[in-house]
Amino acid sequence: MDDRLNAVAAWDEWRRMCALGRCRAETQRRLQAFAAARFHRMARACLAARAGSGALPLPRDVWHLFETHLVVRGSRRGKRYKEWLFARVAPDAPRRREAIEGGASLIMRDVVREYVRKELAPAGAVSLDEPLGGAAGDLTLRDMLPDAADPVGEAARREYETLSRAHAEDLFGAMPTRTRVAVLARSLGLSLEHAEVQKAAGCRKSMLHDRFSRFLAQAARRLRERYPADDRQSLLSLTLMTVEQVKELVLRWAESERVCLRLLAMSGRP
Amino acid sequence: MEGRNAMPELPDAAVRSVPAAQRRRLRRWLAEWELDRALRGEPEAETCSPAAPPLATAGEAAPAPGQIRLLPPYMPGAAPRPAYVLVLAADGPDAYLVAPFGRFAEPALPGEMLTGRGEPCLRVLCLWNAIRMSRATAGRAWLAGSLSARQQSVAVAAYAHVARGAPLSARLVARMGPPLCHPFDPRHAYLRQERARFAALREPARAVSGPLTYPDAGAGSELRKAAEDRAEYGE
Repeated sequence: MDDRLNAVAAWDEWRRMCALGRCRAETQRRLQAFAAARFHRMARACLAARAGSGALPLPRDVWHLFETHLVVRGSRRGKRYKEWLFARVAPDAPRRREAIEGGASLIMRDVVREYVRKELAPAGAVSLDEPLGGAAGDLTLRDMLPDAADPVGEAARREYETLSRAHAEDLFGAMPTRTRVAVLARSLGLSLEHAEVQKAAGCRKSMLHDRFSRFLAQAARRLRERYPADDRQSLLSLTLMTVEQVKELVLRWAESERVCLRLLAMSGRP
Repeated sequence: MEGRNAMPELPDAAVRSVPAAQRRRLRRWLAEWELDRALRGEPEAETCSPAAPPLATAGEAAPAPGQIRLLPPYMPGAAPRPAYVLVLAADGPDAYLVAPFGRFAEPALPGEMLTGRGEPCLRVLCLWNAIRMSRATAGRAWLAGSLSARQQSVAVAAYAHVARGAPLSARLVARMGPPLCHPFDPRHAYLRQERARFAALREPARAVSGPLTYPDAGAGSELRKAAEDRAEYGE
């Protein structure tokens, strides 16, 4: 209980004194230790995710990063983030320490991300055709930002839309359930490695990745074979529009599939 | 849908090239997004029972265009992380057009713009996610600072460009994010998250909505110059 009271008193002192450097030595030690523990744990999680490594800052420097991250410069009111932190809980609430330190942890996530971005960025350039991994999966930078074609005029745009709808229905009709689940997960921004996604598909992540890649490749190949004389950019535009339509069909299909309801709910869809 | 033809069949289309700088920008944004995802698994702030509104925001100055305001944690969308917003313009007598600042260092989309500010919480302005906020709600947010007149003019001009396709100098367009083309681009998930975050704060449009009015929008004004290529803006 004493430790809890001391911790709250330390946070309150920091709030009153404006900067930690003006607080008592005990308060400085306590808050720096809190910040360093959170920072180092989160930074290690980031580095593990990208298989990287690097030196992490000392507790005093971690606190400085935390204290300055949300400051609006050139304003007498630039430290209002402290109000946000302390307004997370009423002054007389029983679990005040948890609320303040929980808020500080939320801020610390952004501090850590910024630090890793600036100080521990992986070296070297990324090829345009290299799979990006992570949320992007097998997609490459060229896939995501292609030199594509814009239909000229409203009539052309409508024709592209009509064609893409027809091709999407063909593709969707031939898609096995597992492929549909993979497309659904990616449409919802869920990782194919998520346990719920694997459960819904009834297979492991490696198969889901394979199904998803095959689906994209098949869509592109079918349209290339169907329009052999058309230029690459026009085909790419049609392919992107077709895949977008497939995505819509899969989402509609998922709304009536019991195994998919959990995935829809996880992504915040009604 | 079957059949082959030696002649092109698809309707005419103009090729749109993507600048290498936009691909580099997207790459950097994706790296931040991955870090964000890696950190999402970290323990959340378990306890949050925000103090009552009057306690949190008593005595704040009235909202005005150009102000940077911080939403208190009891407002929807403001509990998971501090959310700074820019008051873009008045929208009638009892509401403001307000745009949130993003949490990443790079703009994700053509509707996001680098502000030229160095603070991590103010680097990117998410104009696509601007909402109409009631005067009362905006007034309960803490006043944290303000943009310079020049920065504010640029923000308003960029909003007009994003919302209505108003012309904008190439220099400012270069400060916007890369286009969103692919249906499986992770930015779709980001859009959904951010839109949902601020949706609850959205004030319904007025029944009879007049045009937004901007101060100092005459010939030679900062706002007018933002549409011209030669003007110097930003920092």
